[in-house]
Order: sequence, then C-alpha cells, then structure tokens
Amino acid sequence: MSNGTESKTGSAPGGRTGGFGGGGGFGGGGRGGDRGDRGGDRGGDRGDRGMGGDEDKRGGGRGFGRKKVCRFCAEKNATVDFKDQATLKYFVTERGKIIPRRISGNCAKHQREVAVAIKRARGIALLPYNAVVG
Amino acid sequence: MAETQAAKRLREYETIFLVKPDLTDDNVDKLKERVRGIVGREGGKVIRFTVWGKKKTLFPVAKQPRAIYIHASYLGSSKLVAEVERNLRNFDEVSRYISVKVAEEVDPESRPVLEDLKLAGDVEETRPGGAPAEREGGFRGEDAGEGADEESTEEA
Repeated sequence: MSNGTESKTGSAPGGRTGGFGGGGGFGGGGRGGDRGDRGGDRGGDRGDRGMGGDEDKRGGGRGFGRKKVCRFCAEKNATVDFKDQATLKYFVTERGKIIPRRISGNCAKHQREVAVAIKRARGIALLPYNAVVG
Repeated sequence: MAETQAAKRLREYETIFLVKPDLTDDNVDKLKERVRGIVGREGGKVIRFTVWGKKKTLFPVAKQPRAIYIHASYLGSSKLVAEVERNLRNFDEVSRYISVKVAEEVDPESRPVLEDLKLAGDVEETRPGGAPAEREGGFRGEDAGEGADEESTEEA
C-alpha cells in the first residue's frame, strides 16, 4: 500500500502532462487517461495503460513513448513560411487555434516563428481566424 | 564605381496582395505593371511576380469567397515598401495586402530578374460545403473533466 501512495504522489504532476499528451494524440484519450490515473494507480501504470512503451521515463511522468521532435529542427531545409498553407495547417486546430508547443512538439524558437506565420497567414485568408466546426 | 555599388545594398521584401476574383487577366497584368512601375520609380528592383491565381479564401474577403493572390518579390528600401503599400491601399481592386522583409543587405546585382509566373490556383469546383468533421463518437454523456476535457475537444 505504501508503494501505491508513493507512486501516486510521484506521478501527480506527471500525470497531468500525460493526459494532455494523450489529448494531442487522439480524441478523448486525455480524459480517459486522467481518470485512469486516479483509479488504477495501485495496479501499476504499465499494465493499466498498455501504451507506455519506455520504462526509463517512468520517474518523471507517464511513459508516453514517442518523444516529440521539433519538425523544423529535424529537417534541415524546413523553414517556417507564412505562405505555406499546407505546413501551417498542422499547427492549428480545426477551429483555427494555434496548437501549443506541448502538443505540437515544436521548440521554443520555431513555435514563435510558427505563431507569427500563422497570424500573417490569417491576414491574407490562408488560415481562418475562427472556423466554425460543423 | 565599385564602392558606390557596394554601398547600394538593398533589402529584399515580398508583398502579397489579394484582388477581387472577378478581375480579368488583362487587369491583373495591368495591376502588376503599375506595381512594377512604382518599384522602378523608387529605385527598387522587381525580382518576380507570381500570380497564384484564384484561390478559395478561408473566410469571405471583400464579401467574396475567393480572391486572386498576387505575390511580388522585390528589392528596395523601407520607403519603397511604404509607397507600394500606399498605392495598394488606393487601388480599389486590392482588398488585402501584406509585406514582409525576406532578407537584409542584398546586392542587387546578385539577384537576377526572374520571369513572371502564373499558377493555376484552385480548380473551379463547386463543393456543396461539406464539412466532414464529425466528432460525436467519444464524448457522449460525460462531462466531468475540467482542463483536460477542453484540450482534447480542441484536438479532436
């Protein structure tokens, strides 16, 4: 039982970020993850979740596999361009909001550039200010 | 001679402007020439005009669902940009524009004048406004989440 409480305190802040990450990955996962946190924390996180992947990250947070890499850093000749509608689309939600770094995985520098580019693109109607989702 | 050339470093700018979709090709060309004239008059150098063609805008611009996008790339000073923008404001056909600095300290000799391009733009198709976004699947009946719920809704 002491083990359970320890893992609970240890994972409380980590569990939050894990939940957000799940939200980024697929629809309702974020909420499900948070719920699972509370109930299933005695049962061990790995078995409960089934998608943890790497064990070495367990100390900090939930092992949510897939380390995000800034796509503009990863590709040498990828630059942020406000005219590039197809690329910028990945960094806005369906409603037209800018996706935060913690979900998109951008580094700070490129997230700033992306944010400026998105705002410019909105000005010339390449991206929506506010798209109504049907 | 050489040192005067070296002193003549210009900045590279690009300006995109949207014109009304009912403009004919002739009028678009005329508009291009007017902008080209302004850039030449102010001591700049036009590198390339690219007409992107008629594209669907993400929201109505000048009460129109489409617009013709024209992209101009040129060298010049900040005064030139101000002059170009002032003129674009006065053109009735131009509904929006944006100017962005691309590079500093460009030698005008190093950038050749490129031929104007004309892209096709969106294919003319009348879509009945189908919004394929259906996201009712996983969210029935539960509304207990506070922060994470919002996040996942945005992402869905």
